[in-house]
Amino acid sequence: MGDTTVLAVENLSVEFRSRRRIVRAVSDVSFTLKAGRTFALVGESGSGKSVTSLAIMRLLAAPAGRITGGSVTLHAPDGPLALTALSERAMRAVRGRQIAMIFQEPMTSLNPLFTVGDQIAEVARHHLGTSRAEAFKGAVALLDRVGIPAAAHRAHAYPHELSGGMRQRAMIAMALACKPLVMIADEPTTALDVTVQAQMLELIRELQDETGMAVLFITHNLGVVAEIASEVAVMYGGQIVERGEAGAIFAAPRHPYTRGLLDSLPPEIDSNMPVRAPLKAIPGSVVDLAALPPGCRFAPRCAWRQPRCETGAIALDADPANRLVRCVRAQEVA
Amino acid sequence: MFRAVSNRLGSIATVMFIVATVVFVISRVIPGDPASVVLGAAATQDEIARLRIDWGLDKPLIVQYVAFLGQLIRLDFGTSLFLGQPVAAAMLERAELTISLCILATLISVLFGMPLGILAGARRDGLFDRLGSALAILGASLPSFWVGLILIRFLAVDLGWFPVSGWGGPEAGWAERLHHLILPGVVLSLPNAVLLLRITRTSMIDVMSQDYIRTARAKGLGPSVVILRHALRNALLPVVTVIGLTAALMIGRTVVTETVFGLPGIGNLVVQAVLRRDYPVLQGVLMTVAGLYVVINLIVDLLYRWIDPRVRGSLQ
Ligand SMILES: Nc1ncnc2c1ncn2[C@@H]1O[C@H](COP(=O)(O)OP(=O)(O)OP(=O)(O)O)[C@@H](O)[C@H]1O
Ligand SMILES: [Mg+2]
Repeated sequence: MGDTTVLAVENLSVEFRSRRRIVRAVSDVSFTLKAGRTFALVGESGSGKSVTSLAIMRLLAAPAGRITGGSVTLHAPDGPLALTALSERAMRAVRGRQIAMIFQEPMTSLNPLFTVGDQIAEVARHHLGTSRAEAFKGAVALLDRVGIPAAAHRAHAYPHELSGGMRQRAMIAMALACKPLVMIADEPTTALDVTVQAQMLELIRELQDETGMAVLFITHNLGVVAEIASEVAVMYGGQIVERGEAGAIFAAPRHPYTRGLLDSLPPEIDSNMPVRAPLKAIPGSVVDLAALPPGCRFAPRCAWRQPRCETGAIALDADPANRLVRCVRAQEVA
Repeated sequence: MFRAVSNRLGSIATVMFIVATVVFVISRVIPGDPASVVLGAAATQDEIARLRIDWGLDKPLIVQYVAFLGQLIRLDFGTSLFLGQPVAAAMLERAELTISLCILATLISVLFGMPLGILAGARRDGLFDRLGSALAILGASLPSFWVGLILIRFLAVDLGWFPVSGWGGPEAGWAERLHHLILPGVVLSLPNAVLLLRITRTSMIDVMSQDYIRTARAKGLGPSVVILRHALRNALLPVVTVIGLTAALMIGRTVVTETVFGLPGIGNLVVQAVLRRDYPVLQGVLMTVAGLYVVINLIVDLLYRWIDPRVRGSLQ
């Protein structure tokens, strides 16, 4: 199944409108998820990663958040589904069943008033009409599968009775309940301590091998990306600025922003990674999505800036090796 | 459950002791003297003094205070200075009316305030939210006695749908009693319904923005399941507290309602007791209200434990 596309995001744009301003949170984002592969979305806080994933799920806060352009297509076994055109009702049949999602804060992402077993069982009961008892048994099996010891007992526990790592495992179990084609993981390890982080990545990788699901992995931690992803898109100011094969990008970033991110990485996170000068933070602050410049969005912070960067929009151009870079000096940066 | 109750008994005793002291002090700082009230303007100093001795009001305050505490421990509120009957009996006679009225008013406020609050909070700025805000402003700005008088004027006097006052003769059945209590119940429930609407709405809005609601939606659950199963139970926690507290505070507000609707309940008893400086009655009623308050708080606590597993866990 190696190269089967499961989810295609094409030219996706998202805006948040309020009376006073329009925030262009995502602009013209395209990528595809392949079965059994992990695609990573990286970028600083506020670059539009979560909004992209919520747009795929059509869970943007209505009425302020709106998909203003582009499409998302799910390639389900029984034919392609244009998610951006589905009715809300049909979309509900996709959420949790074809595309599952896990979030950054495992504590607050689980309902405090229900046992984890019930919350996991709810997915199968809702989508597959499984009986209560059957679904709960399924939940226990899933908890066992994600490595929770004494799963039959823990299924009766409430979220506050579990550690952070166990809660995140429970969230993963919930995501797996209907054997989804795609799992979106929005910073699933950020709130956990380092040893637990590593276990969680290992678990996701294992489950992916087993089920062949595609994973969209969102993070701002490049060390994590190096471990888990086969492809990466780097986002800045709601745009993809560089996209390509993970190893190639780490070896030779072409966009000044990607390069800045790699340079600001502390060396101890991953010793196999080529690290240039340690811990150089990117100067300046993140671009205001409500007042975007006409030219390159990164230009005000860029060391490679030239007058032509600030006049018109910069295209995301492909190089011969199928790497996409949104920079007029990509060849020089490398 | 038993443990939770027994854990609190100690603190309840302390609270009741403090309340008793405050009640005693308050009833004695009200200016005026019951003996001169009962004997009228023509009484001589001698007659007044004799009556005060009969009632034990000549003794030092500290002695009266200790006697009062001693009675309370035996759950004895003494005898009314004016009614010629024990305070407990006087209260019991009127309790049925007031308790029925408060329960009815609480039911009305829950039935109107909560569903509207849930709908308003689940869809912020939606139709129900606008409707709810309008009703809340209206309800909060109208004084109860005025609403009561308007309702009596139109629904009772003009249309004759409801009785104008009282709550039926001694032989009246429950249906007739209920008929009499509907208007006062509505009036009494108004501020509570408004408060409940606002608290439920705020609580719903807060809960709807929580991560676990996003999780529920990401599971593919529809809006009714998300709201009724995942949001409502969480939103209920502060609401339960408010229902309990307003129910307890309502007894104080029955004073006005009972006066407007001519109902012979506890509120009415309090008005008479204050006007005549009937200390034992005043003390008895205040202590009972405080006791009810404590009991309702205990019930709220137990409800909390039933709803929220986090609270359940912390006491074990
Ligand atoms: N409901 C909303 N209303 C208005 N603006 C929003 C809303 N949600 C997100 N945004 C804006 O969209 C932009 C992108 O946010 P997003 O959450 O996608 O960032 P992110 O890349 O996930 O960052 P982080 O690493 O902090 O999670 C932000 O500038 C944010 O202000
Ligand atoms: Mg995010």
